[in-house]
Amino acid sequence: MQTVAATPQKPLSTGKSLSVSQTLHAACERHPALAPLIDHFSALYTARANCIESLAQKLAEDPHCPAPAIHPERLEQGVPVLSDTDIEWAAAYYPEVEATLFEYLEAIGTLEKAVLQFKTAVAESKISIIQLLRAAVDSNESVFNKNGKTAEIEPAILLFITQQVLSCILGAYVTVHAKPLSEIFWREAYCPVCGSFPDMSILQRPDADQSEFLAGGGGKKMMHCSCCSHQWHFRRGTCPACSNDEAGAIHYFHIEEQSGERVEYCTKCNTYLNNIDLRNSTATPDFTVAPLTLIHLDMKAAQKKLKPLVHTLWNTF
Amino acid sequence: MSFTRRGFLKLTGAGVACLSLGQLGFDLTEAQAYATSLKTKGAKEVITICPFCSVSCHIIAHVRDGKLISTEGDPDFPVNEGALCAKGAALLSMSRNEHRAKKPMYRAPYSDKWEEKDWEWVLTKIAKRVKETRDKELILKNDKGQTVNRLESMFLLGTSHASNEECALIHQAMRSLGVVHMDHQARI
Repeated sequence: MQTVAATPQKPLSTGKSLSVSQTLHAACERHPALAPLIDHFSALYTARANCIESLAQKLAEDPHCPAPAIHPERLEQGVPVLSDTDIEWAAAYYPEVEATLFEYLEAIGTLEKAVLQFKTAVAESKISIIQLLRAAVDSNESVFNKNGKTAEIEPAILLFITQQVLSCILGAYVTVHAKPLSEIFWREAYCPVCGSFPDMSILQRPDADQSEFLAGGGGKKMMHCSCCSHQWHFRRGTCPACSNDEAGAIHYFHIEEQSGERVEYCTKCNTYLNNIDLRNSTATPDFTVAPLTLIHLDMKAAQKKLKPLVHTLWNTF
Repeated sequence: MSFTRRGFLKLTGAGVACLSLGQLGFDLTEAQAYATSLKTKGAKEVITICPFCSVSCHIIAHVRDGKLISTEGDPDFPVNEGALCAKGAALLSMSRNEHRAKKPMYRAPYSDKWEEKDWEWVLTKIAKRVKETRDKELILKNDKGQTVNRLESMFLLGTSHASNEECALIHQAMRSLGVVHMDHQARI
């Protein structure tokens, strides 16, 4: 039964935190063959991290940005915090995201034309940024199909650009409201804040404040939201896709000699999720960009005919 | 908005969300070749219960091809929160340690050498010793002349590796012999 706990989740245990560029640099050193691909995204994700930091400062002082409405009854029924809530305040931050992020987004592959069309369509009010953000939170596919025709942008690309905007704003929102959001007790596999599925899970290091008499070895699993980067606890041994929790439900594989990064999958539903085990290193990567550094595992998973829990740019081939 | 799990899956399935690096003009040939060249190792996680005492701490057993390769405390189990005592932490060695006794070993009285014996020899020896001890040491009556049928010179140490049913059977067997001193490995 789901309940709302009064005690906050313990924070991620300490370790040297790597920046976006350090995380990508470390990945390129481990996997030189992936460097040409990873390098393409370094500037975009660095700009995104800076954008989130800047937005967080502004959000903290914004009277129009509501504090998370945490209703125990809704949470017990598996309804995320931002479901059915007003997110019009988020649209006010679009101009800043456009100003700081879009020049790097344009540089990604063949996105330039679509990004320019997106900017023009928003400026000319052909598409509504509020409607797109709401549709992304609600997973309303028809809005992207309809607006894609209006703005002459492929719906998948329209969704991708919208997700980039939403990720920055909600990333800042989650940063500002970290304390109340971390106190939510949540048993679902989708994010308690925005409802998106995770793009990665993390096995924590041991808690620093545990009993000196009976110390655990860590290994608590945290899910990392593919949209807002919020982290929440999820049970080991349970499939996040089909909730299969039979003994031996979770299988995994990793590259030989690299057990700190692995693919966890369920043989019942054939769905997988990448995982980083922090116990295997002293450095903590930047989790927003870490999924990109695991693309070789996504490729391996695809070769094994496994399906990702959530489709991202890195795991769709 | 009607909030359903299915609603989430709409954009994560095979519909609008499937933008790929290939669609954006990236050449993945080199990355794919690299991924193909990588060798993988795998296992499965089985949540099980530590057999050593009645606290029943949960343990995550990592199993590959039917063999235990690693164990760790289950951080989600509220009783131990991933912590294990010295016995639980050494669980892997119970099935994997090359130095563990794999066959019955016998050391004769006053000898300083262990000998490998087969199970039939050992069980026969134990049965004989039990019978000899009981025949010699059984106390039929106490100082007041009351019938007690006690065997105070034999001691049973139980094990957490025995199931409830096995424990009940062992207990009854010892009681039938008159054994009164019994304890359990979990208390040591």
